[in-house]
Amino acid sequence: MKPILKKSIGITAKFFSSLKTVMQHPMGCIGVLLVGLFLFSAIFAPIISPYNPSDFVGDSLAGPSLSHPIGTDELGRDTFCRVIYGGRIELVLAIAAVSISLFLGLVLGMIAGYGPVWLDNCMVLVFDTIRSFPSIMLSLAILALTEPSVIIIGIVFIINATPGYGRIARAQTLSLKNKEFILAEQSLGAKPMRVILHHLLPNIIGPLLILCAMDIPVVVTVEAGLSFLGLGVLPPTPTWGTILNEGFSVIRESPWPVIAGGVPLILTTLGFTFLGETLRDLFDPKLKGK
Amino acid sequence: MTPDHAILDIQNLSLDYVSSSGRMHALRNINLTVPKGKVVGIVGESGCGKSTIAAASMRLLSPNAEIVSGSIRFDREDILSLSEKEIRNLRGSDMAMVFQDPMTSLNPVFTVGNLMTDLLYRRTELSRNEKRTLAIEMLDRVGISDPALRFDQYPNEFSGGMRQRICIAMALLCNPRLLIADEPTTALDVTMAAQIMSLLKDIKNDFSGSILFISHNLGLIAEICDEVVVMYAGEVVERGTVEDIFYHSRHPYTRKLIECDPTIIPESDKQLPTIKGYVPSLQYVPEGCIYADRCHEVLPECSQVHPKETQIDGKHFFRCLLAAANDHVVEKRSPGAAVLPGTDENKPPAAPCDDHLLTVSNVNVRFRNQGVLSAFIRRVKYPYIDACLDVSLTIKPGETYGLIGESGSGKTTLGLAIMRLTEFAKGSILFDNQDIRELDQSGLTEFRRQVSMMFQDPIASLSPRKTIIDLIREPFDINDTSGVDIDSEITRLFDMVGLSHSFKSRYPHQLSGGQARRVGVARALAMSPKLVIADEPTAGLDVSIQGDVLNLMNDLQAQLGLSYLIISHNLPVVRHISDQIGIMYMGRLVEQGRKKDIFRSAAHPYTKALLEGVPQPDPSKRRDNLSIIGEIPSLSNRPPGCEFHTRCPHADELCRTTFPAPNDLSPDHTVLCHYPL
Repeated sequence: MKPILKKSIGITAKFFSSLKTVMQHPMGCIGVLLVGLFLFSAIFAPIISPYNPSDFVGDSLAGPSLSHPIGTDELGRDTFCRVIYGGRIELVLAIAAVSISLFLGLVLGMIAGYGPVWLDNCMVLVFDTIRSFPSIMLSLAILALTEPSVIIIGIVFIINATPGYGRIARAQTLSLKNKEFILAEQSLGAKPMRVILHHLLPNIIGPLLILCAMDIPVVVTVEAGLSFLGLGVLPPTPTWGTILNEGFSVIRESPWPVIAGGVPLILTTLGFTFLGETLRDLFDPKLKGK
Repeated sequence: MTPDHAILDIQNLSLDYVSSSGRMHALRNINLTVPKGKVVGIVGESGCGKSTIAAASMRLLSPNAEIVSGSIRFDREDILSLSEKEIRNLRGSDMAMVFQDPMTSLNPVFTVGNLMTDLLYRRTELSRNEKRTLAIEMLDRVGISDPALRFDQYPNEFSGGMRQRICIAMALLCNPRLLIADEPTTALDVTMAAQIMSLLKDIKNDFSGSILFISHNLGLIAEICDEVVVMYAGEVVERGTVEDIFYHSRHPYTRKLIECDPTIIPESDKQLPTIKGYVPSLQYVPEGCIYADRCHEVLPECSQVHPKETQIDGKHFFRCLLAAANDHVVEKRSPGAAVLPGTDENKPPAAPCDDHLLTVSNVNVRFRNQGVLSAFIRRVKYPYIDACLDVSLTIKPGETYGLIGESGSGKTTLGLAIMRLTEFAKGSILFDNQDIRELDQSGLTEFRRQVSMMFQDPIASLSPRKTIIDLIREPFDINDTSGVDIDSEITRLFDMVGLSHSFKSRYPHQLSGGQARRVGVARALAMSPKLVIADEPTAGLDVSIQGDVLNLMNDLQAQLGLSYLIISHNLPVVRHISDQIGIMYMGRLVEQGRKKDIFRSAAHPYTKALLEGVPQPDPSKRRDNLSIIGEIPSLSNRPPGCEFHTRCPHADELCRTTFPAPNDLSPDHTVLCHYPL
């Protein structure tokens, strides 16, 4: 038990020390705050929000007031609650979709890079075929053929993003494969799995994780975009996209629903992008010291 | 010393590099003068501030450099107070620089002709044709054949040695008053370096300006310089004429540096001299002498009193309390009585046993340089490049084989083939009478437990995201080591290679080259192998550390009965530890034999050229003629007959047409030459 405890303390200390370095950059600081706000509101949504998001609690299209901080929608539901509960869905969707694409991309990319040339060629062909579809068309086609739901949106994102991660993982593997330290590991008798897991993975995952942080808002915008088109999450489930979509139809009566759906979208996008860029600048050795 | 006839005069220069982690006091109170028409050398280990002086003289310092005090005068003009425009006018036309790496110091998108005529942009009175003529004349002068033809070629069409010639031509084009050469031969092979040195000597004779020659190699300094400045950790510790420094040196650092030069160590010495410790980090400069920690003759007051610059006779200055106190004249040392060829007594063969540990016979390694389809379309019958051709060698238990050759000669490829890290096309490699080609996966793991390899770049061959202790533990994780107390084994390895235990949790990039090399040795020896293949074990290390690494390898061989295959381009370095030596040229072993055969009676002209290509730290032993000229031919277009005939001074018709058969001069000494010397 003891070594595990020691290790976890070490990891926590490392996490806080890197958090401190990120916070020292103005952009990183904003990023951490925005992302933190987003996470906090999503996790504690039932505690924060005063009402149930699908209850009709007020007048239709009321402006901001003390009881409804950013007003109500057409049906009299509290927009604030709907935004917070919408964030929950966005968060789960974004994290799940990005991690699955990262995992798939890493595995496929490293196999392509480290494996024999014919396998590499086949996999690159598949990656490029998928990437050559216009992503919007592909998404629309998939959604038109299936029942729109959160899971399908996730799958659409995974199909679009995995080849990108895969290509990056492959390129990194190829450039590392002929480095002297990989030869040195092989000369010690290390088997391929060991080389991949212990020596390639730690060197590849850093830049990819940063890319992931920057891709999280992309998932949110994809969801919002598809829901706005009516092909994503269907009402009455609250998501930022559906809030925007509903708000758009009543924009002549009240601007508040559109603002309520748009502002968190912008803030989350900014937050994750800032965080991702700061992380990239801090942990990319080539940019270090600048 | 009046600054009147000094072209470059640096007085009391102190310079700091400012970074987020603090101030590095990179140069402190530097005094240095380059008189008109003389060659002044700066010598010292890496990190001693040699290149910073060069950059400061041209005001090409990095933005975080800050000049604290002092002055730099170029022909009485104060460099430090000139405007940006004025200094730009000086650069290139009045002072020019030749950099270390010719592969990266030429802009690849312009032709050589463009690069050169552009330098003449200030000479508006010249027409384009006149500029072209001037540039071609200069190319001719630095020894580029067919200069008019090559004028329109791009830098990538030239070899490294040729590019360095072009760099020199560009530097000399505007007839500068000062030429700064910063390690101009370090990136080149022995024979190319000798040619560049000979070119610089020619230039020195018919060039009116002065040269500031920077090198870590005392042999080169002795060969070309009139005056020498010895630097250590940002200070000039001794300066004087070349004779003062090489024959009457007073500072312990200078003496030790000369002593460490591998060319002057007697051949029979297996224990090489070293300087203990490392060049200090210059963030905190000690109160006393900066060299006190490493000095072998340190006095108690050395750590408290910073020595003043003391002048003895004429131009000879030094900073040392001991030498200042000892007023008696140090007698003229005979610098390295026996250099090359050596004069050792006959050492008994290393191992009496007759079994061969490793037998390499007729191994060919080739790389495909054209795809199947393109070779078919272009009707290329042999779409390969032969990296190793018919290489045969044997290593007995406890023996050291030194494999020598210039870059591209196939030495490393052979090492990789022996490890089975690259496939070979023909021939066989037997280890312990077992054909390594027949090994399956588990046999291969067992084989690699008995044969290990140290790679050329000590830091890049360590996985960058692992800690040192993880890296040294790795061989135990890979191999089946049940019943072994891994922790105590790791402690043993740390102690064996002399690594401090405080390094355990560091990462490779936090180590110096010498320390990382020790980690490499520990990893290679963790599984108690029988054979270690060491690829350039001393490359990139300072002379003071080189000895350290070689001594460590020697001691371990004596303790553990290891065999070594040492791959190197540096003959003097392997001379002390090898029993047998093989010389590789274009993938073939052109000569092999016992050490004394090679050093006393080299039979192949190429071996002789390599031996003579080594500069010696003795100004009285300057070389005046070159033993071989020209460059290594391309591997994809091998010359017919003897492959060395294009560069051989003795080649005749037979050499040009017929490939020589191996010529056994004695049972141990084979040479691939029609007319062995």
